[in-house]
Amino acid sequence: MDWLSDEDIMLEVKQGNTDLLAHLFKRHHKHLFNFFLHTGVEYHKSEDYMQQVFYRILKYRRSYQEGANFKKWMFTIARNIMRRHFDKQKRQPEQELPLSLFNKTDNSSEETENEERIRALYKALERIPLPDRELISLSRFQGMKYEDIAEITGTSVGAIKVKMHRAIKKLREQYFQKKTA
Amino acid sequence: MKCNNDKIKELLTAYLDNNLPLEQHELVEQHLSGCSDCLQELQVIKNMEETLDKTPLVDAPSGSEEKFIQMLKKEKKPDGRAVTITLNFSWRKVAAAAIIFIAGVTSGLIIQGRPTGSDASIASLESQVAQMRQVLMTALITNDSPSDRLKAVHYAEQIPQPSSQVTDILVNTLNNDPSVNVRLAAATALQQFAVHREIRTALAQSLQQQTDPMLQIVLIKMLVQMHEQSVVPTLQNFSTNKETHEMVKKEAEEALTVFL
Repeated sequence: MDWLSDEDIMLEVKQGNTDLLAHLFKRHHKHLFNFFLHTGVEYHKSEDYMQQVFYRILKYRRSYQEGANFKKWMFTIARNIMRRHFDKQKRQPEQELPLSLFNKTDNSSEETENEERIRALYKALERIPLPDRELISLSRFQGMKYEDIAEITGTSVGAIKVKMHRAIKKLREQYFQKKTA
Repeated sequence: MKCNNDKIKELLTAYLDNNLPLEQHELVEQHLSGCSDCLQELQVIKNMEETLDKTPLVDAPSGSEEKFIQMLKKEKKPDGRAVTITLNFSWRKVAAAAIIFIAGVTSGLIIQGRPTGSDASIASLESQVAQMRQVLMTALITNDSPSDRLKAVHYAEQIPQPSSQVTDILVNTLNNDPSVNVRLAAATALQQFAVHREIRTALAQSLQQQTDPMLQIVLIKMLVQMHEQSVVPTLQNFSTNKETHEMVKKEAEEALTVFL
């Protein structure tokens, strides 16, 4: 399966071979899950939403258009769900990652360093506006190109360049401010 | 020295990403060669980027993949009842079955072997049937009895390539028939002809004026499957309008998420 592109697989799914969607799930669910986390959706809710995105892909498989970039479609659905989530609950409490996430038996220094990085990232993300969190997640963690992000978020590529810069700048200020504090 | 060239500064992130057109890229490069302030800024951004690069993704909760696969299975078999078939063999029955089978195949071959040459007359018969259906349909659709009108819609459904007269009647029925059931049947009939643009548009327009929640939901589902973009404003209306039925609202909101 690995040699098939997302789009090839999705086309098969569209034609009724729905079992193959499991491969796309395997490829992308972690990215999707982290996208929700980065934007500030709680841990368990993020899993819910991740499942929901794939459920919708299954349910609306026939509306997938041949040639359309699968990841772009997937993140469009994810973003719509995420937006609706924050529309409904305007005041967002702080993101709390479950402690169990870090209670790994492995106590190597690499593991501890990673843990610190994850915590620092989330602390900083929490303090910047939602549109910035979304941009940073899509571009830095989900590997989306500026062109695709522009389409997903409904802006121009030119605007994304500047927005990206401002987002990173804000993140940086929070990130390092926190460390010195 | 403090640099106030914000135009350049704002491009630094995209510059690091290699995401600038050549012209702008060179512009930034040129500026950097003479501005220590911006060079320093670039270094800070780079540090941040490196930190982000080294930050791993968080694993999804264990079991989420199995959860998904379970869901896939469930969706595939809505009634997953197991059926066991027990076979009672008796050689006599097997032999009888074999004889019947062979006889069937042979007669089939004989019949097929006969020269047909009647394709043209079959085609003309088919078109006559289609015409008959159309006549019946136009006659029945004006009846007072809903079951007669249902029959009419059913006839229309069976016409392979309906004339615009037929589809017009169906659209009219969908929009104006007093019975929900007849309207629903008309919607289903029209769905078959959705390869035609006009029909998709007609379905999308009809959604605006339907008041029955069930019909609204059915239409939304159809239109999303057809990826009919023109339905988007109507869906947005549904999702903001307080008077929309809760289920319809949910369906509309969900549908909106899948339009690119």
